[in-house]
Amino acid sequence: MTETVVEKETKSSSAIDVPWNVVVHNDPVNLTTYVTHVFQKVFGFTRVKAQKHMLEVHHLGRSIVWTGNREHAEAYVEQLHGYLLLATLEKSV
Amino acid sequence: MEITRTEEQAILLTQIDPVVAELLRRVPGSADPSGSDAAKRRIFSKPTDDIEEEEFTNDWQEYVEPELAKLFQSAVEVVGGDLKKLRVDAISGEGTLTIANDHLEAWIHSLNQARLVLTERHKLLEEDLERTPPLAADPRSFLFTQLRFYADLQGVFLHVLEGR
Repeated sequence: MTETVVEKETKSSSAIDVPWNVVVHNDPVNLTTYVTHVFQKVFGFTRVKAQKHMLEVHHLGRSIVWTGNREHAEAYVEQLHGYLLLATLEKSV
Repeated sequence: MEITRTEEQAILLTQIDPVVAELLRRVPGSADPSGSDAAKRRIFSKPTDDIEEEEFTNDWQEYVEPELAKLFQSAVEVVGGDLKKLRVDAISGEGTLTIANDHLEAWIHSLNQARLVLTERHKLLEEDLERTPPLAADPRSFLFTQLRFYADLQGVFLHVLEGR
């Protein structure tokens, strides 16, 4: 009995551990320089990397700025909302 | 208006004419989304578009949004506090305002929030924002001037903050 329970918990844990994307969406109001600044501040990106993601957002409408576990993805989305960027999390697969 | 860095870790805004002074004084009020559901939805946007994440979205509204609201309010209060120190020369009518460097983040946030709220409150479209200069005959020309001024000021403050 005990072994069965452990197996179920393992499956559940695996489901939670699927990678999650943090996605930033385009917004015509936020300045490109501001978005670049926020990416550097939140993710520690270099200016070049931050600008690359900013341009993706600007031209393609969205950019995946980070991928990883759910807990960290939620924390990043919260930080980005703190800077008033349109950010969401989504399953990576 | 002239903007200069001081040696006391601050920036100094001088020769602020009465119109610009009024635009500055309007920052805190303009950043307030009260009375506009569209503005509130933009300031407190959804954390996911996944319809299977309804519980997470509800928890977010209950626990995260109040914290974000406090964060936003504190930035606006910093700006409001600085604006109380805006001095106007009785003869020239020009104002002077000192902003400490460690208040710049709050200013940048509040100017950004004001632009987002104004855009939603007045249902502006992307083409409205890109039209420069605004048409003088447009009854919204003061609004466009306000938005343009806030964007320019935000850009200058970012420039200073990044030490460029």
